[in-house]
Amino acid sequence: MILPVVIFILSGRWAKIKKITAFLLITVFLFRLWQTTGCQHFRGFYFNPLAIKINVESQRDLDSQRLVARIFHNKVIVAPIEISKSFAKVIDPQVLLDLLGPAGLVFLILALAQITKTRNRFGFTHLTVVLIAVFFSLTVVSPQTSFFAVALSLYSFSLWGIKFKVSKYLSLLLIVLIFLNLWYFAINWQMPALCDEIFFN
Amino acid sequence: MINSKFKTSRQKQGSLASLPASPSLGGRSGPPAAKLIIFVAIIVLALALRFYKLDTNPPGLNWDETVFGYDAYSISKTGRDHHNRFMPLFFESFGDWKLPVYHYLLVPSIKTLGLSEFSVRLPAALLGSITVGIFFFLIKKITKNINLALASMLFLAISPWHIQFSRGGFESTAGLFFTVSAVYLLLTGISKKNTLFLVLASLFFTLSIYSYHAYRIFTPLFVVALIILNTSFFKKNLRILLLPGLLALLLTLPMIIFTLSPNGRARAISQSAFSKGGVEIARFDFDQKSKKPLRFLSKYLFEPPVYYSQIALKGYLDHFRPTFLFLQGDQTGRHSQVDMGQIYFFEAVLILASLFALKRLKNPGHKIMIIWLLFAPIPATIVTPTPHAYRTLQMTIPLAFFSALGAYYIFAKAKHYAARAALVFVAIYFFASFTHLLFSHYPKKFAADWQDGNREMVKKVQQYQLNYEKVYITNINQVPYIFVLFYQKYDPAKFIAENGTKDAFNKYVFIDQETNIYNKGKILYVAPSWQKVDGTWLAAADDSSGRHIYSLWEVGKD
Repeated sequence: MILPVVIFILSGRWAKIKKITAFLLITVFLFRLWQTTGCQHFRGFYFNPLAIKINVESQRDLDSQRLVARIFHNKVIVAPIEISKSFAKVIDPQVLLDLLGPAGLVFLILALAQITKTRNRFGFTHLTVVLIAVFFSLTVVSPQTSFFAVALSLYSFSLWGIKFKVSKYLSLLLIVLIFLNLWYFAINWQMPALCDEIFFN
Repeated sequence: MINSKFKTSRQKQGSLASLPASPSLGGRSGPPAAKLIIFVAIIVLALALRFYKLDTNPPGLNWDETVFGYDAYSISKTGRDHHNRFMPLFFESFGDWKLPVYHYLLVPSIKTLGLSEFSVRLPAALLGSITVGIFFFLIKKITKNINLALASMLFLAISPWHIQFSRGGFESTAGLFFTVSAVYLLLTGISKKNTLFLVLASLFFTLSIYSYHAYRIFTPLFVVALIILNTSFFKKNLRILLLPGLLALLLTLPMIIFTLSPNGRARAISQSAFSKGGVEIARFDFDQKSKKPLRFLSKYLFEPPVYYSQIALKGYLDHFRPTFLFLQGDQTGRHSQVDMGQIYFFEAVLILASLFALKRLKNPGHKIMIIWLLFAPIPATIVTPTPHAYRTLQMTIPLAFFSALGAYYIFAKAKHYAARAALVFVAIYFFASFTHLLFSHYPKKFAADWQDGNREMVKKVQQYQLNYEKVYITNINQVPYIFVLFYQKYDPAKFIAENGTKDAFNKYVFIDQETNIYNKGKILYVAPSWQKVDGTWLAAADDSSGRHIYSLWEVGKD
């Protein structure tokens, strides 16, 4: 998925600075993926449907009136909320920060701004793929699989942010931010939002 | 007089003219009388949500509320707090040095209504309700759109976050009132070029700083941002800024001195998220467990400023987590319903919609709200834990505004009445669900978070204590002495005269689990419910949900 996007971005008429930005960003993301080789147990984002039943039953116990309990505590209302909780855990700022770093987060926001501003169909399709990957991660039991589904989709999507028009000075600032990203990944090597236990032999 | 403020004018709406003045009224502005009725109705709703069962929900007074109440009682009777300080500017309290505003706001309440749960919570509930009204005028001032102002006011009135902190003796609610009022006064002063309004703004900003610790950081930063936003005005009218500026500086001088004092620094260190120990542990972990080729980097990567900035960034972003805002809220039972977000679930859609509305608006008022939202979490980034709903209560203002803006945008854009009806239905359902959680579930589920049971304990002690020379009370729930003082309405002058402390006063002694109670002669012992005591069981003290908290025992012989 990443390769076609990278080729698409780099093949356009671009100033050198944008190509350097793309190269550095991809390098930093690859560095992060390399760091995850030490992760012994990924957190994962699996949504357990039992959470709906537990939520409903724990709330109903506190209500003496059955009708009131059924109006406010039922699976129809609780299910979307519980699913949203799991979804929100994937797009949690701490998870995004651990995965993308500060620079990656900035590029992700710029990517969203870019595709909404230009109404790029390919961009919207890519965004749809990201959302599908996120929902896929909620259904997969294997934490490692769900991690890589989310990681690869978000890494590739954030590259759209490079296309966002900024001044030359801001572009240079973004490059500096990418280097700071490297520092952030080094200092945040334990990535607590993504990995329960990490060490290297 | 009030009627004139509700007169609408298409010209006044300025750059919002691209959106219908009143989407719910088919594009027409609506009569002023109708808007006045809506304004009053929202205020009544705000009052009802904040005052209904205020004395019993939340259940029980927590230790902070109790010490606020007793210190205010002591001030009203003796002019001194219970540590014998005359009209203090900073209250020692439990060694955490609380700020003065809420204490002094409590004095008239305690004086007229006496020591009770209601009188302690009255100022917060009242100021919280008034904040809703002032918020209307603030939004009307910055957007020139009455309907948007009414919608913003409604979202604040029903905001679970704001209601939670208006229903307890919370200093931050008072601080927020002063901040909102000050911003309104500042903007009015700028538009009318009136020094009096600026002086009042300066005074109110200062009062917010003396209300709660978070405003010591938020208010100065926000004021600087407001001044920068209005640079052109202040450049031309520098003299107008002189008096308010001097007043603010003079009034905040004691605060600056306190912050630099040993007591102020001790408090800051106790709450701080930054500790040298934390850096050393992180460096050690890195040396032991990271990839061998990278280990030499530890001395560069774990410099305290570098490491602390990572912690601050995490703390800041924690306040924008969707789970915190829309789904689960602050996990501290006193700070939220826990079973729902700090604001409503459906407001996620509204806030997203507001991003599109912001694109269309040229009104500089939205810049104020964006800056307000971005600055609001800053006070909580340097302390633990995060996210912290109490320290970031000021976020409720911009969130209410953006929710209203999003709703306004959807109503303007929705072509079919079915979409509008669906939005209204969803909003009403979630509001009803919140009130159900607040008034039905909350008092039962979170009695322990509010240290409920102490009132009952003191009542039982009063019933039995006459038969004993000494009463020993466990401090398992921390600082029980203040609950004894409060619920017995103990004479503060007597407490001061007998040099009472948190460990003992009069016949009461407050002990930990290790203290031997069997060599004290015949005593009345108040034990935690689970403790096995070798004595005669007398009575139980339960909290409002029926949980057994304390047991009263007769221990020893004459």
